Parts: sequence; C-alpha cells; structure tokens
Amino acid sequence: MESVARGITIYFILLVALRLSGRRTVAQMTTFDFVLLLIIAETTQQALLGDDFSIVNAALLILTLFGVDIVLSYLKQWSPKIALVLDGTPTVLIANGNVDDRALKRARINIDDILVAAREQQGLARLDQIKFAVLEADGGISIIPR
Amino acid sequence: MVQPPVRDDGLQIEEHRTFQESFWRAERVSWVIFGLTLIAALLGVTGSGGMLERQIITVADGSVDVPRFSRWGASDVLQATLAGGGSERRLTLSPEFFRTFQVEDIDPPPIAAEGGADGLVYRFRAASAQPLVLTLHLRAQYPGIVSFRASVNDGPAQALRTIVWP
Repeated sequence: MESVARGITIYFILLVALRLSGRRTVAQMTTFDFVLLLIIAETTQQALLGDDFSIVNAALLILTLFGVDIVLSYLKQWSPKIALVLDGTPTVLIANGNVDDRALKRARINIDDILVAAREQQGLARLDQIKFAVLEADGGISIIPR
Repeated sequence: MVQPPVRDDGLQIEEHRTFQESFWRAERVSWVIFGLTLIAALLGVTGSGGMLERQIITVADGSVDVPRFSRWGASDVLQATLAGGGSERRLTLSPEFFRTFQVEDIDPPPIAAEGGADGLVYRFRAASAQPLVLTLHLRAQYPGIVSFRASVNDGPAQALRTIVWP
C-alpha cells in the first residue's frame, strides 16, 4: 500500500511543482536547470523508494507511475478543462509584429529568447521579420515569419 | 474534430488567455506559498533543525528535550537531563511514544527497562551527584501526531506532543 501511496503522492507533488514553477523551467533549459533536474530526480528517487530496494517495490512504483499517467491522459481526453489545467495553453507573444509586453513579462520571456527561437527555427535576423511568436504549452517558442 | 478558431490577425490558435491570466496569478501566489514553506522549514516546522523544532519540559528533577516536529523514517533524538542525588535515575515514557518511535540506541545504556504504571521506565545508575545527561536515538515509524507523557525520577508526568511529518 505504501509504495502505491508514495508513487501517487510524489507524482502529484512533481506535477504541481513543475506546473507552478512555470513553463520556462521545462523547455528552455540552461546548464543549471539541467543540474537542478538531476538533483530533483535523485531526491525523488529516495522519496519514492524509502529504504525498500526490493524488486516488488520498484515494480509497484513503475506500475503506479504509469497507471497515474494513463488515468490522467483519459481524464484530459474526457475533459478539456482538465487538459487545460494540466497541460496549459499557448500564449501569443507577438501578434502581427506587435509585441505583447504583458505576456512577455508574465511568462518571464524576454525579446532575446524570441530572437534566439527566430534565428534557430527560421534563420531570421531581426524582430521586425517576425509576424507571430507563440509560447507553446510545452514551453517552446514557435516563430512565424512575415 | 473541433478546430481551433482563426483570430482576426489570421492566426489559428486556441489561446485561452483568460485562463492563462488566472494561471499566472495562481503561479505567483504559489511562489509566495513556496517561500513561506521554506521560511517555516528554516524555523524548524518541518523538523530536522530550526528554532521551533524542539520542545523542552523542565521539571524539578531535570528536563526532557524532545522533537516538536519530526519526520517519518528519519533519525531524531530525545535528550534528558536527570538531576543528581541518589544512585539511580529514572526516565519514564508512556506507551504512545513507543507506538510511533523506535528507540535505536540509548546513551548511556540503562541498567534496566521495565514496565511501570505510567509506561516504560528506564533506570540509570549514577554514582556521582552530578546530573545525568542521556540521549535516546529515535526513528519515527509512522507519520502522524503523537501525544505522550514523560517523567523524570519520581516527578509528575508531563504531556508532550510531536508531529511526525510523512
């Protein structure tokens, strides 16, 4: 029982913490973010397993984590509102060449981040060449040139 | 299949901006909660150090220093100071204490541990008139709130409460 309870609890703690820490944490990963993720993985592993390193415990935890994931995917399919809360929604950062400063500030994105995405994805040199920039639900920035 | 709407500027996207605005507010509120949780942790509310972590009861025959906040599966200590006088000192802990805490080690080791009217009585030999300072190394076996009683020598039992976080 404890293995399943631990698995479900840790899954939701991670889900809430990652979701509330903002999308930048997930997609635009710096070297430090990567190290942070490794530390979180190690901490989570200890909290999941406790002092029980048996195969049964590991198997139960794996089944629990996959099980919760499957249940949530069905819930998201069943209710678009749940999908919205769990996955988030895209945010338009530049519309028709006009920069939405409020969206940038709230999403903790700066113009440099958009220019990086524009260079990498479209080979664009300047901001005025961008028609649309969208912060996607997965944390990536997609660029549509003029 | 429902398609996302096409905006006036020609971009076909389901933006849910109202939801996103609410979510950004929720994010900021949650960051404040993260911060408050960390401050509480630094103060000792989550156990493992901090000024609020421990509680000390002082009685005529000594004192008992026990965790106010502990953690499930983590090691902790109970420290007691038993006043000098006589060749034997006693620390009594009620059964509720042992239902949650496993005593892994006692330093110095008692000469006897026996059941009494108020719980388990640890007896210690003390040749000198100096107070005897002892440490019980503990490990919480279950999360929850533990209410128990402790007494030193022949003094009255004092009520104590420890929160064991999961």
